[in-house]
Amino acid sequence: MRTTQYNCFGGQVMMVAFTVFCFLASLAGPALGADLPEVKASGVLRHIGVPYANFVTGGGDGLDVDLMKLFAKRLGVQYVYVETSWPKVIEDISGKTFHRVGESIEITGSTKALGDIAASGVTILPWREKIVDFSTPTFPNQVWLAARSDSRLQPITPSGDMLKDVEMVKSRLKDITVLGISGTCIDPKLYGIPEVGAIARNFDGKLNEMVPAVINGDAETALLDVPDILISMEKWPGRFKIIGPISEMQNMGCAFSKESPKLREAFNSFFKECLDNGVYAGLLNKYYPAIMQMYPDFFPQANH
Amino acid sequence: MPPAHIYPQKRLNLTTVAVGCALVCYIAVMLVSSYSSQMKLREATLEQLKQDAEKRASAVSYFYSERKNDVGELANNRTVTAYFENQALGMSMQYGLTASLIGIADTFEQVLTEKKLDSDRIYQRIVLTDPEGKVLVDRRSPLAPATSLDWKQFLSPDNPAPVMLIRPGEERVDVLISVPCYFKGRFSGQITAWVHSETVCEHLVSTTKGPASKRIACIVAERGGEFLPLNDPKDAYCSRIKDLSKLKAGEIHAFRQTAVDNYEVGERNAEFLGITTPIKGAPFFLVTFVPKAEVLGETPPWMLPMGMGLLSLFILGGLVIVWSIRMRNIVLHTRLEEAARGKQEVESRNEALSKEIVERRRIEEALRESEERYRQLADLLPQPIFEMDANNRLTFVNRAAFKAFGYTPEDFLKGLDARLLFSPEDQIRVIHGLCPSVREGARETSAIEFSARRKDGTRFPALIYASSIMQGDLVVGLRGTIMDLSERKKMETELLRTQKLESVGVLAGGIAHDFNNILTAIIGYTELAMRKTENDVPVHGYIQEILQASLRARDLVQQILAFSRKGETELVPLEIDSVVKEAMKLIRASLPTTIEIRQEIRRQHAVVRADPTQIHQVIMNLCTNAAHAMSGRTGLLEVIVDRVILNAEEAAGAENLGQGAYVSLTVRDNGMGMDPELQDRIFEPYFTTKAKGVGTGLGLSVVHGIIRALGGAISVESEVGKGSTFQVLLPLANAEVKARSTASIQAFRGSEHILLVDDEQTIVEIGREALKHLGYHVAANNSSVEALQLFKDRPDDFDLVITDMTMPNMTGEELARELMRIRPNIPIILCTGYNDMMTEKKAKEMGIREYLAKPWVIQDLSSAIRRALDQH
Repeated sequence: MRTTQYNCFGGQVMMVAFTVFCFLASLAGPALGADLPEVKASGVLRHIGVPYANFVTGGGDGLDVDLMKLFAKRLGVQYVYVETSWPKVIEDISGKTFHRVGESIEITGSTKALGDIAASGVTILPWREKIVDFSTPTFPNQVWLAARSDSRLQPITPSGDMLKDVEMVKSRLKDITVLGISGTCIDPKLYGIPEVGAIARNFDGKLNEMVPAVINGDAETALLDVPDILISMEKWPGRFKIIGPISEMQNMGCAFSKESPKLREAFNSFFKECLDNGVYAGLLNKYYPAIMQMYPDFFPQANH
Repeated sequence: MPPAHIYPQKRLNLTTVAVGCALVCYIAVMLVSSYSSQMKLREATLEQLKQDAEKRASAVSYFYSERKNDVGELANNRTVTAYFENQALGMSMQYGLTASLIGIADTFEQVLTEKKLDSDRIYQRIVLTDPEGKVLVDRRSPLAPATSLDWKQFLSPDNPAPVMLIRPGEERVDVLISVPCYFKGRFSGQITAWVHSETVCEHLVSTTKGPASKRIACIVAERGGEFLPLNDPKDAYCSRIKDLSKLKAGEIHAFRQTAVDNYEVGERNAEFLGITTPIKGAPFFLVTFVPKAEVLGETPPWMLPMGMGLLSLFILGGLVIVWSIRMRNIVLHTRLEEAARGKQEVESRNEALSKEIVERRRIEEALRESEERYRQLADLLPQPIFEMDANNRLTFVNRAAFKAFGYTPEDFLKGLDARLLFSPEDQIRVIHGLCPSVREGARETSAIEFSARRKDGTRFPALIYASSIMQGDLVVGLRGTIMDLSERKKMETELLRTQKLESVGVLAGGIAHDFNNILTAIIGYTELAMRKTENDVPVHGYIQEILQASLRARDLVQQILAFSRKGETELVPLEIDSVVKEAMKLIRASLPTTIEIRQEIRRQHAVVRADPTQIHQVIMNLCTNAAHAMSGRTGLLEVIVDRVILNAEEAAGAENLGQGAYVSLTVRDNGMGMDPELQDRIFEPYFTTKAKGVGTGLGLSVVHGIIRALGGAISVESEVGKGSTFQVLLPLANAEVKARSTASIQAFRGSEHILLVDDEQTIVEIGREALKHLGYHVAANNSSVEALQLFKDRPDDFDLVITDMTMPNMTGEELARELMRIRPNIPIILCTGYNDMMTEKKAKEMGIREYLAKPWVIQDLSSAIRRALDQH
């Protein structure tokens, strides 16, 4: 059961009407993301999200959706979900247009900030940190290389050194087609895939559709982040295999406009409470039950 | 005498003995049957005990079979095979396999939490090891100890079926189910699951059926000759049963408490039943101990039949007592029924009596109503009705009797002798007249006329009818009716008077015609003679006297005819006061001046319907009589006209009158008066107190007849020496009075041609002379037939026909019809002396112009001729 608001047609109509109202209200809001006073004044917390894995399922729930709802409740404001896409998510939260070259960022203008907080399994990347601020890490991440089960590539044998394991995987990618999505955490350019002689191919679909694309033979390999792999291994066991890591350990977090320091600080405080009181562990068990066993060091409180 | 339906004593005793013997036999059969049933019940109970143990063993067997299936399914679970697939793909534990093991751990956790008996977990721990015995996944229930074991001991790569293992623990014996995992036919791991044995025993084996039950059951595993109970330690005494190994599976053994190593479960030295039941598919068996008393009861099987026997004897004794009481009840019931029948009979008689009373009341009521009805009818009768007993005592009289005889109901209640109703001179005659008929047994007596006597002594003529009152053949009285004959006598007198008048009338009618003809000639010639003589000659005076005497004779004839009601009368509305005034002028002229006349008209224009001539005659007669009563002395004559209204009572007291308004004509004088006897006779015809030749004796009779004919009445009050008062009452008429024409007394003359017809030659002659004297041309004939022929020959020669009525061969009526047939407009005057068959009204209806009564005078004739001719 999601919420009782979805239990009847009347409730759905009211919810949709309220969402539309809040969306229109947001369009008329400030150009930049609102800070804590403005959020409390407006009475609405606008959550920018992209349907992805179990962070934002697209069905009205997800790890980050539940977390944002709790945060809005803590603030005493109404929760509003604003959907965007991965290429637009940074602009929509920062209220700025930019041009990225490698790790460099050039601000090209401003745009209307559609939300106050972006949370959808957003990986904390250096270039992103130049235009937005991130909360304390909320979820561990790593980009792995996955291949079809009948691929000629063989999984590496872990060496015990993460960097060696990454180099070992990359060394096997010459002339191998690697599927990724530009502008996201699985952008092959971020990890120097083309430089190792691999053929990088941009995927037009969504992140959730990467594994089926590999299984269907659209590409021999694909870059997948850990949350997506955990879900895909449950859905299609034995249909694909993990070759090894492409990146070092990464973190995911919530993105804020750089003009919303108080809001970010309020969230960090709230998140720490959730870690301490087990609320966040409960959400992890609901959406990613294996993650705490895979990365026990990332969730020391949760494993207590 | 006893009732017939009570059983005879001897027959009753035989029946009692037979019933008693049958009962004893029946009880004996029941006792044997009960004992046999007890034994069968014990056997069935033991069999049920065995079946219960087998059922529990089957449940345990099925339970562990299910657990083997659980573990076998885990070995083939998708998460486990996915792990093996990922492992086969070469995925490392760090990059991928760890995630697969997490899925397996979740599956194990799901089994641990979901597989339950009620709320108790079945599994304590599930472990997945690799083929080398290295633990890959180890999931435990929160209370399960994390015991470290040598997992290799559980590996069974060569036995794919799940196996059950018994492993003695520190506190209990563990039951393990282990199954190998294969991937692509290769032994890839081993799953071992710990089953919570205590939960199994608690839910499937526990035999506790309540706080008082001492039944014990436990699962015992045998390992190396050692018996290991899987239950809670309280059931561990099973292990202390030294001879448990001697128990043969499926058989029930009995032993005492001491045999279980003094482990006190129940009473010391209590006897127990024990049974061992193998559990199929599991390396242990079920042991059940039950206190013998709990299964078979503490009562030996013979105890119940014996108790039943004693109870039967008690019941038999009770039945005997009940029977004797019943017999007494039957007798009592019979007597009660008799009493009830008697009561019912009495009630039915009472009901009949009540109905009879009701019927009698109804009859009495009907009689009372009938008596009331007849009493009312009797009271309504105008004639006295009476009943008298044999002692002449009146026992009943109606209201008319009280009224007729003047007695009151109080007089009647005091006792009234019937003879008082008869005049003393008639008492003996009436009583004796009635009694012979009664003695002869006649129901009705003949009528006896007698003189009845009122209470005040006055008498009246009466007629008595009576019939005898019988009681059987005995006459006990008389009942009858008395008719007052007063009215009847009066009517008889009236009838006699009427008959006398009729005879006078017949006589008068018979002579009136001829007499009038004679008078016509006398009067006619006298008038002619007077007209031909000078007034101053003595003869004229003589002729005048002849004419007056003739006119009195004419009046006498008219009075006789009126008295006999033969005269012609015409009733018209008439103001009586005007007639009185006119008459009083004549009276004044004829009375001496010594008599004062006082006329008092109290009611002007009082109208009655009468003949003016008759009323004039009444007034004249009464006043003439009054003047006669005062002749020779001074007196007062009063004539009073008034209007009176008679109410019902006054009308009832007056003769011939009803309730309503009347015109009163009173003529009073203060003359000599009359005594009562004279008063009774004054209205008789030809009764007169006047000297012979002075009065005819018809005056008051004529008055009486006229008044009666007009619906009125006349009464007289008189006292000798003081005078008399006559009062005439005539019904007041509601009509208008036509103005009376005053005819001229002069003779009318003419010159027309008149045909005169009369069979009397004298009349023809005097008529011719009179008509010629008046200037007319006359053709006279004494034959009606010749006259008719003459008229036929010259019908237009005559202007008028004067014909007599009574003529031979052809009456005046027939002649007139023939003449009018010949010439319908011929004026005709019909003259008649007297004729019953013709009246003026009838003549006018025929078309005859005038009707002229004989004897006529010339003046009357001339007037009639002119009226007839002038209408032409």
